[in-house]
Amino acid sequence: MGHFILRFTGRGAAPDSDLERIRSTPGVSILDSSSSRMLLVEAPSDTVSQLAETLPGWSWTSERTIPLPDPRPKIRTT
Amino acid sequence: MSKRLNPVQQFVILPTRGLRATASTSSLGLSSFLVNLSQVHSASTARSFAAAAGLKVTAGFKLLDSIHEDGAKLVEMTPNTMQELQASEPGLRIVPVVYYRLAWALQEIEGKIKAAAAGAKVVVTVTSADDGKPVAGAMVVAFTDFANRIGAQSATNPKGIATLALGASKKIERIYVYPKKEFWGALQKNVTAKGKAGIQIALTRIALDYTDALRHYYKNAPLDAGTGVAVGVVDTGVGPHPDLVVAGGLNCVQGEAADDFGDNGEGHGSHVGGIIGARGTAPTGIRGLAPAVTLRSYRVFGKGAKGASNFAIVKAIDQAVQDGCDLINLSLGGGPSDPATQSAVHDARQQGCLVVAAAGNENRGPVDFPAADPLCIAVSALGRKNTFPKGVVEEGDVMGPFGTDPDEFIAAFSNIGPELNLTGTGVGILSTVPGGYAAMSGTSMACPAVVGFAAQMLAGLPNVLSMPRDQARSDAIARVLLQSAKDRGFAANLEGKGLPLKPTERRIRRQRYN
Repeated sequence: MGHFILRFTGRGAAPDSDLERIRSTPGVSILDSSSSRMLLVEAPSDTVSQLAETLPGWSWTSERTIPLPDPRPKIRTT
Repeated sequence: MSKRLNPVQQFVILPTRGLRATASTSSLGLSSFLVNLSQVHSASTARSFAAAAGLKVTAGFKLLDSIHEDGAKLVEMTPNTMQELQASEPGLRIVPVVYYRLAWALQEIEGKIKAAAAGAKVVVTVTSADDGKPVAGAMVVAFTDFANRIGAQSATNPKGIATLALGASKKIERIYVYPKKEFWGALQKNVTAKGKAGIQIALTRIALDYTDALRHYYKNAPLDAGTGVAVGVVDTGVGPHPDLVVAGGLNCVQGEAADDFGDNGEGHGSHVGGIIGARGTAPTGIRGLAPAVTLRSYRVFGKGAKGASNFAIVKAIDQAVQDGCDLINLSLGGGPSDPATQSAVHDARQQGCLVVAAAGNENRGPVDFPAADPLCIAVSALGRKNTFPKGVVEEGDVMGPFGTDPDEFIAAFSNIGPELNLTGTGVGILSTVPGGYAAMSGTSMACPAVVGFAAQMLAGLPNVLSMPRDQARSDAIARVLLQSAKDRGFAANLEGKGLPLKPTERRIRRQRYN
């Protein structure tokens, strides 16, 4: 299980039919649907990749963490 | 510029989206440009093409391959020519051809790390140079082997004391002190701890009328600079601060209150916001480059978090565009490119908003994503000697080569590469932080310097600001910025097109902005 971003890359808001399809896919939990073009979901990666293949105009990627920028020399710990 | 500093390289030239300049992906002008480029097959046709496009194309420009007459092209050209091309046609994506090599892991330094962790402790006492009072909460970082980054760090306690486990050797190659605010940091080299007294370090207090690099190049902006321009800062949150007016924003961090878009305590976002739009007046306050901008804060770092979700960043970009921002500042990045962030940046461009991003701070490493994306403006960090006091941490950022002005340098920590578009002032910059003021360095500081400058320029170009919010508008904004750049004498992979500086009145009349 992981967190994934599904983003509609077509014009305008994501089609309601696509959103409904994502919501009703077994194994997919919607974590954030506040954007009109993007969802944050929790699901197995296989489920997400298979789902994205059947949704034209959608991309998917893992949620990941971008570190706070810091140019200061750092102590090596490993 | 010598050939050594400006060698011919291979680049892929692409339309704004996809591989061909169709009506749905690119402007008509871009399609014509690519079709004309497809006709280049010799040095003379290259010169004709360049003349028709109004470009300064140096010898060595070649078209090597083309997917279609209005499609992607593989060309050979110098980085300087690439910058000219990008400034002339901001809607193009110009991507360097890169080759990947295997990463090699280093094993041998592990023994030194274990040795450093054991051993006697060294006491470091940090005080204020003007009154001798202890400075609490300053991070002390000491390296016994700087090349391999072996050492120890600790924060000073209320008595200004930090205790470091440095192993058997008491010889310290470099010791850095980073206060949270009110003082410049300190750097000392080749220090030996002396008995129980240890090491004493005195910090210089920040004077708000000090001429740092930002104020050296841009002086004190008038209070109406940036009027009519909206800027979104995607960061740790901005404000509150007496010198800052934040018009609105959104906390994009999942699970936190949406209206909590002030600084999460780190200070990074407030510092960035202040460079762009602080409204104070020295010596009691500080002023940014565009004090009259409409400043919006999009927090993507959670409370106490050292990392931001790419989902939050994408949400922030989308919201900033929806809120009518003309410019978005991204003083963050790193890791591989991801299609969601790329899509958000591209959507912003299509809706008339320009994203400016920091190149990153991995000591001359490659330009970070998303700055490296061709539709982002990527900014490296420029420093200038004598714009910070003696004995401060910024002395560690000085590194050759030096520019046409020998006081100028690209910061040692700055990432570089052919993806760079501009350089900005990023060494020893004074700005606002929660509860006061601080000096910070980074491409994080260079990026808002470029954004603030862009806001200053745009405020005087109502014909650009009033354009429909589409790609032509964001291209026009990019063109204003790129054509304002002054070459500082570095190779393009260090400074891009150069440092944005105000053109003369004569140059304003000559330039085409839209």
